[in-house]
Amino acid sequence: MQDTITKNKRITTSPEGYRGKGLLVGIAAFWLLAMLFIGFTAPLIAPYDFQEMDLIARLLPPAWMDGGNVSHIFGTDAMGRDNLSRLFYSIRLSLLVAILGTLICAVIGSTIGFVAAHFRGVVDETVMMLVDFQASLPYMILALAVIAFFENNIFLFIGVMGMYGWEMYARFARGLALSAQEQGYVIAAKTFGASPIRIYLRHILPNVGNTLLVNMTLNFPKLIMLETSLSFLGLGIQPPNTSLGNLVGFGRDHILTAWWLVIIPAMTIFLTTLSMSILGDWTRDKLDPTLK
Amino acid sequence: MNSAYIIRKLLRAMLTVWLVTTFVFIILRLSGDPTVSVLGVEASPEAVEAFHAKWGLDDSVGVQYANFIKNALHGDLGLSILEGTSAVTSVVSRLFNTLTLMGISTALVFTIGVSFGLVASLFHNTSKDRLIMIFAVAGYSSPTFVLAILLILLFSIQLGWLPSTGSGSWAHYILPVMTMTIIESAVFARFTRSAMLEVLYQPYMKTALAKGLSWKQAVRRHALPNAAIPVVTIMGFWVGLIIAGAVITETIFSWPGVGRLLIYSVKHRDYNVVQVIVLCVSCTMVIANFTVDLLYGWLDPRISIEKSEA
Repeated sequence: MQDTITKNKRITTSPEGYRGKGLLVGIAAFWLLAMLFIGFTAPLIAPYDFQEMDLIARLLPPAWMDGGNVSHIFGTDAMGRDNLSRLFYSIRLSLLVAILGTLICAVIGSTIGFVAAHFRGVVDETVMMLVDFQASLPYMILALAVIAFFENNIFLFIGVMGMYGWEMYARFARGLALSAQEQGYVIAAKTFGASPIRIYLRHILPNVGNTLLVNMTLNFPKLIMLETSLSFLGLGIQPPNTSLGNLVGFGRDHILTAWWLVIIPAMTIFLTTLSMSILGDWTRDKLDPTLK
Repeated sequence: MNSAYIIRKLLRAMLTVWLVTTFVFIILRLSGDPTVSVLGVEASPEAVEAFHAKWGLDDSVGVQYANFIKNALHGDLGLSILEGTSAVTSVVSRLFNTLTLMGISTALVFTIGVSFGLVASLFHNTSKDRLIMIFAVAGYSSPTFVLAILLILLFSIQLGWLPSTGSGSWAHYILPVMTMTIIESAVFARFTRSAMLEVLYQPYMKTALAKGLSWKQAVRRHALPNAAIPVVTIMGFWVGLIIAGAVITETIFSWPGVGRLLIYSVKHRDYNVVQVIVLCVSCTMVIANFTVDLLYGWLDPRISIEKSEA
């Protein structure tokens, strides 16, 4: 390290590290694509309906274990429902909530940031105060307080997920828009009489999009963690719908006798958030190395 | 650090606490009635009516809020609907368990996280750095409940070494503390590393070495104080969360602490208890932020001058 500093050589990545990293990113991307594919095609590729019960074949172990059955590759749960099918549908719902949440959050947060940068003054002050307020509070606690509201309403739940981390987008969007306003291209667009909305959507957004995109890739795994955690606690997605968190939550009751009920969905969550983090770090290094 | 600056900070802190309490109050009152969860679905209309009258549920939200503030200013934060005792007592009775669990975890998280982060940054781009970072990515990508369950499977069920639930003896501490430490140290290691890398490549480090300081002196006097600021910020955030930071860990390990009480009270709509917990959390959060602000001034004297002039 000392040599690196004194000799003025800042080696960011050594060749062999880079190759190893490339492989890791490749595997992560492959896993996420597979999850997306499963999510999109769950109703087509799932061997059973995820609610179909078979009370005679309860708590079957996976096919490769003693007593397993090829017709239920990952076994069945306490109500004889096929674990593989439930896993597919859970991946579908967990991904859907996380993707929608990320998109909603990016749109709302960035808009708030742009509005603050455009109007300045009181609006800006209020927005920044709300940003500080949000940043100084654990979102989990707020979400828990709001969630008593839910009554099995998945749209409201997605709404709560969609507000997670808005303050980061608002902060970035505001800062970027403020510096963009000083740039030649914005001033030029203004002199041609472009409306503010046109300037923000057509001129500023494409130029600051990278940072917001990077923030989205970093926010996505956090959203999956929040959703699955809440569902695990029984405060998120409600039955009969099922998310990966629900699967772990229900599997926990049978942890002594049927560990696979817990391990399979738990590892799916872990590998998905891990892949997304790896991919997010990689996107950040590629697109915007100044971000932390 | 002048008094006007401190007063403004204090006012802002009080405003935050008030905003949070009000927000949570309104959300909880809008979210529905605790009657069903307390009395059951088959309660007689008379019982429901009596329950409503007792807890003032028929008043408008505005009236309820006015009563709440009036009582709160007299130090009365209401009774726990489920336990019948004062809500403050219900929370305080769990506080000790949470504080011991979090105290041990915090000490471990800070030391392990920061030292691994320092090692990774001082050996940037070597195999040590990469190894630490691989563990760090894996650590902060794993949701608490996933890691907790894997640990229970391994240590309680497969090996039978440690108890998985409860809080009777020192052995009960091991799994929850391990869960929190693994995940949160990863966050701190990553953060410390990037804060250190930020300063290690600054020109002043080169200057320090050029004027003849040893590597150790340069790191200790020039790199560490500058890298400390962002690290202290997230440490403050962590300490602010100390009361309800272990919601999931406590729930999984059936730890009789404040976090588990929070989940239980939210599920059963025990308004007053949720309210007291949120109030405690926002107060500790605000106090922690305030302390961090004071620490900034001590770590970097420029900050307090800039802020008090602004």
